[in-house]
Amino acid sequence: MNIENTKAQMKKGILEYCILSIISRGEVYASDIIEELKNSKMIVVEGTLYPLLTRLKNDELLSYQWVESNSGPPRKYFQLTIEGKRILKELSETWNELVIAVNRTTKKK
Amino acid sequence: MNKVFNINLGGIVFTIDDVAFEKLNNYINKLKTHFANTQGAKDIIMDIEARMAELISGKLPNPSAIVNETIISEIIIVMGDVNELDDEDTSERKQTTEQKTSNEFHNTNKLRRDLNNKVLAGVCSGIANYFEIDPTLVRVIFLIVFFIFGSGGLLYIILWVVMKPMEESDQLSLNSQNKKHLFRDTDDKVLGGICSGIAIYIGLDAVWVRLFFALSFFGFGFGFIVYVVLWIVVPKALTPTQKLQMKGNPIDVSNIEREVKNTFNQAKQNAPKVANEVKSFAGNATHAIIEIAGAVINAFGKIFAVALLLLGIIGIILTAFLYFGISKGAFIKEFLNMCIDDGTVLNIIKSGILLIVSATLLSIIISAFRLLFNLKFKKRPIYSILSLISFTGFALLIYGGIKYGNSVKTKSTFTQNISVEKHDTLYLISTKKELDNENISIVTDDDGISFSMSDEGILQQTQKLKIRKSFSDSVFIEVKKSSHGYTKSDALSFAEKINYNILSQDSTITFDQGIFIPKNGKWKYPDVKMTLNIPVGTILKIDDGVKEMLNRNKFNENEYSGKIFIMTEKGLKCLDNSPDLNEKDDDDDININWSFFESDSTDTGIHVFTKKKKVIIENGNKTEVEEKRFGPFHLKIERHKKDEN
Repeated sequence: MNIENTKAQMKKGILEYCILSIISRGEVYASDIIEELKNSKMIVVEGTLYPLLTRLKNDELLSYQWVESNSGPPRKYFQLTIEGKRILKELSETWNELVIAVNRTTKKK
Repeated sequence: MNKVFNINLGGIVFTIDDVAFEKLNNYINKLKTHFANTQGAKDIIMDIEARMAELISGKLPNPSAIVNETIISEIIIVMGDVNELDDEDTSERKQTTEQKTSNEFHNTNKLRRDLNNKVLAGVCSGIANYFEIDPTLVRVIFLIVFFIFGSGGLLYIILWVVMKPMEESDQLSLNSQNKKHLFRDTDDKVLGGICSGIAIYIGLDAVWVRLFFALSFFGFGFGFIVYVVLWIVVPKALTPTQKLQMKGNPIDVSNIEREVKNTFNQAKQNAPKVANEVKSFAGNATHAIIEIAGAVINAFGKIFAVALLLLGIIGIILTAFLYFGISKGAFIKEFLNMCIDDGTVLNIIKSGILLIVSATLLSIIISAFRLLFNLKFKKRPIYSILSLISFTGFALLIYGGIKYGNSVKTKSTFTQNISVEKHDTLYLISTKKELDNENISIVTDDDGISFSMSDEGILQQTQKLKIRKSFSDSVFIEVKKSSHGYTKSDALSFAEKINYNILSQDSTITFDQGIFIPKNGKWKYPDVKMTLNIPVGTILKIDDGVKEMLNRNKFNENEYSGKIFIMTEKGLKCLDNSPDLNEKDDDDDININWSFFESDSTDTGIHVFTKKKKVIIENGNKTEVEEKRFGPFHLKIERHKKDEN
């Protein structure tokens, strides 16, 4: 069994779910997302986020717009598309079911 | 000597030295090759460059400082090695080194207010961070100090002013700590999520904690106080970070995986099947009990919420009715009108009451809704607005109260004497004035004081009657009417206007049953005190209303229990129903031998039985009739009939 592969698979889906749910709370730019993900230890290296964001954008779950910033160059602010919201909802349900299921399985004495 | 370049990275211009540039360039080139086959590679590189620029400028002491190799190395560690980037397959090894570096960077302890984890201003949690303890502990200590010594509040404000808020970098380091914290778990709550928070903290099922709290609510009462204190003190787990901290471990995938692994291992080592089944049965039973208990507690909470909601709604309807004078209860408004002269003061007090009542009712309703539907809107602004409203209400009430108190600060008494025709027997009776459509009536049982109000006005039954031995031979009533007002003369004019009548006709004195103030009059604590002076030997017959007036004198030695009295040298004696006199058989003590031991009051007269004599008192003429040595005597006092005279 390729444990590394399992881990990667697990984390990948959850990470997408986390990113979508962070963006769903309001427009954010990449550094905000990083902050939250790092705080909650969802990611370790920042570089991981960008390919994912791009992929989510290419899948048309996200859209972004450039917003002028007071300190430095304009920033990309992300928001969820309608499709993104739908996917998030679905993921959220799945996640909740999963947590219950995992708890039920792992906590059984 | 080092060569420097000016580069444009993600839209920001940096001055960078030779070695650093080489390293950066190398990294970006690696990224480019790595993502060469990925869709949107250009975007990815651009985003990464922008982020790197941001990180670099965060590390530079000033914008024109030269970027050196150390900075670039740090940034590359943060961004991650190229090989790590496309899949999150970071190994344990990398994670630990990363954690070490981040701790080394940030683990500097400063006393700062923690704005991320605050109830008021983050002072307590700041202190907790400094000493590396749980903020809740600090908060509880503060609250205790606040209540017991009163100085906690001042200390808190001083610290609030003195302590700087935490910087972003500090926040990062604190948030990354994996310490377990006590939070209110609002995802799994009945009231405030205290119980489930504690449950997570100590690793029990929430139901047990709830059960404990519910028992202590009813059993000892202090559970309620503890709960409220914790509710105030313990912060909600709002952010995902806090939720993780609450559980004490990061929900990263390795944890979930570990748990799955553990289960597998457990399953392998599991005992034989039978034992297993027994176990699972026991487990199911416990689970069922827990579920039932949870449902009951939940239902209790809902019922409580519904009751709250009803209370609030009824309160609002009542208030509206009262305020606009729709219901009968408008008497409160009428009463205020009668009490307060000054229109401004009246309005101030009315609006004060309205503000307090509406703020209270609204907060009840809001709490009820929150309980019922688990609404998660931001409560802080709403509640602070509501408390501001009720605070304003209180301020208005206090102001109005002081103004009003001032307008009734002086008391004046108006005295007049009413002379009464002398008779051996006096009948004291009271009118039976009742208010039509009485709206409210307050009656105290023990001294018959009552206070009622209707659309006509106020009927106040507080007047007192004393009976004293007259030093002359005359009978008269001293009437003292008193009232309050701003000045003495003010109060006196109110006192004079008090409408209380005493009618003396023949041997009958009729007292008004109460002090009546009509609706358009003013109510300024009116009171009437009367003293009836009668010569020794006068017999009094009173009715229930008068008896009450007599008994309102709190400091009477004997309560007026009977209805027939005689004035003796030593004061008023009760002729009927007096336990004192029944026991005493002392002839010298009183003029006539009034050692009664039995009496009967009828329509035609009063029959009093004595041991030795029979006395008839008729139209003021006292006749001793007979003395018998056997059996009780029959004393007949004819009732005085007005129409016969």
